[in-house]
Amino acid sequence: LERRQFLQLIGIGAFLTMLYGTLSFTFRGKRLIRPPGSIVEDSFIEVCIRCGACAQKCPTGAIVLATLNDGFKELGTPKIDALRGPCERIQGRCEEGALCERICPTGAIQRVSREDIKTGSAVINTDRCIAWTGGSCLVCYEVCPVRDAISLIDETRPVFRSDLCVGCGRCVYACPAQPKALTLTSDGDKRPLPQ
Amino acid sequence: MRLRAKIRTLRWVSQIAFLAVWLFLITGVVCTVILGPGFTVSEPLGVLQLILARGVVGTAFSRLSMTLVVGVALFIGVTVLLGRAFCAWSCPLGTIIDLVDRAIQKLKFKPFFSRRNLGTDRSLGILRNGMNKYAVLASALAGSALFRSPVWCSLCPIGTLCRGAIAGAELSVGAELLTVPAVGAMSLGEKRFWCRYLCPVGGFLTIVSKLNPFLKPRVSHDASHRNCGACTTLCPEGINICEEKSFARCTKCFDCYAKCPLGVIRVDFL
Repeated sequence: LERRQFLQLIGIGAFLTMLYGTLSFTFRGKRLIRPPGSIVEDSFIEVCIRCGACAQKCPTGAIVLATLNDGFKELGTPKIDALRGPCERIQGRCEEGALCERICPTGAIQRVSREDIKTGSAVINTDRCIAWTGGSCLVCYEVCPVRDAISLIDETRPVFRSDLCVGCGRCVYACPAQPKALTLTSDGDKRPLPQ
Repeated sequence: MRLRAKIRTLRWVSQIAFLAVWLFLITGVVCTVILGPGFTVSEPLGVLQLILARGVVGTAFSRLSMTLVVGVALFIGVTVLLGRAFCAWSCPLGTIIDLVDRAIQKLKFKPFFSRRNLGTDRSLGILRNGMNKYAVLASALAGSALFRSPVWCSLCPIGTLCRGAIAGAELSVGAELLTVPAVGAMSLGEKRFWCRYLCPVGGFLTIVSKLNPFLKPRVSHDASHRNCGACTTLCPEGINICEEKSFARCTKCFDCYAKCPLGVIRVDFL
């Protein structure tokens, strides 16, 4: 190893390391909605191997892989996109072989009991909601699997309780308004500690 | 004699089959292939980054260590047996680069560094230095430990290509997809430029391949070879078969064996 080569190795290595740092701090997205059983976010970033197996096997296609738009560190990790499909794991409807917690090879997604799952919560924008703007629509109320998470005012207009909502995204997926009146957020998500 | 003529075809078949499997059939990430519950084959650089991001102690007491260390051992075992054969025979990005190189050749475009004025230009030596891939490798490991995430995985063109395949027709990949055409464009400089000078996975496998004793090209002792330098040009890694000692860089593509103008190169199994 010549002196010049060694200096080149150190120089380029240091430059790239700084580049990764810059990218990590520049591209920081909002918090993502993770598959049910995903461990706490900081550990998730460290443990997820970005293999995409959970996204491949997800029966409803609800899991997609994060891109650079979601953040540099998050890139390649799984997130739930309720516009693609709802998460049926929360209802216990995923088959054994399709469970993301079983598929995950690194334990970034862990086994949780159904009652403990909370991936986030749905938020309503009443300006876009058909029922709130004078129309007639009860789709979200009808598809919601959680008792009392959506209730009705005057038997027509839906209101959401974010503490009861588990964040499955069924209502978001089904919402017929264009653009959607409902969005899924990671607000209030409960995540296990890594084992 | 017949094998000599067929070897490139065989390699194309293997490369295209692997590419089709990764991109269309399995549509997974080649870095971690799940063969069954708790049984994976994992590319070592990715796992090394995770271990550094999580911390060595943290990893040792997690599920990560159990499944993945076995997977890495398998990958390293194959590399000890077959050297860097992964690069030439199955890497999906390598196949894309080979296709680009072939197109460049068909279009009769002369890559920049094989032109007389640029190929010998010493000031461009910094770009064409085999050490650069170790700089990329070292920074990937340092960056993972410092910024607590597998930083290289975020940029890796191999991973990006595979993730693009998972996303399928809807192609939910962002700006990172640009790394794939960028790597392809490097072939305008020299064939397999990315693999030869920059790929940290190739760099890691080169280090492991120092242990590989098999399948090394040799020049027949009885042949009155002239050290003509043809193999250096043929080899995607730029190895001079007549002078090389270690062959850790060799990707086992056997282009030298197939195309040596004097026909004096043979491949020793042991």
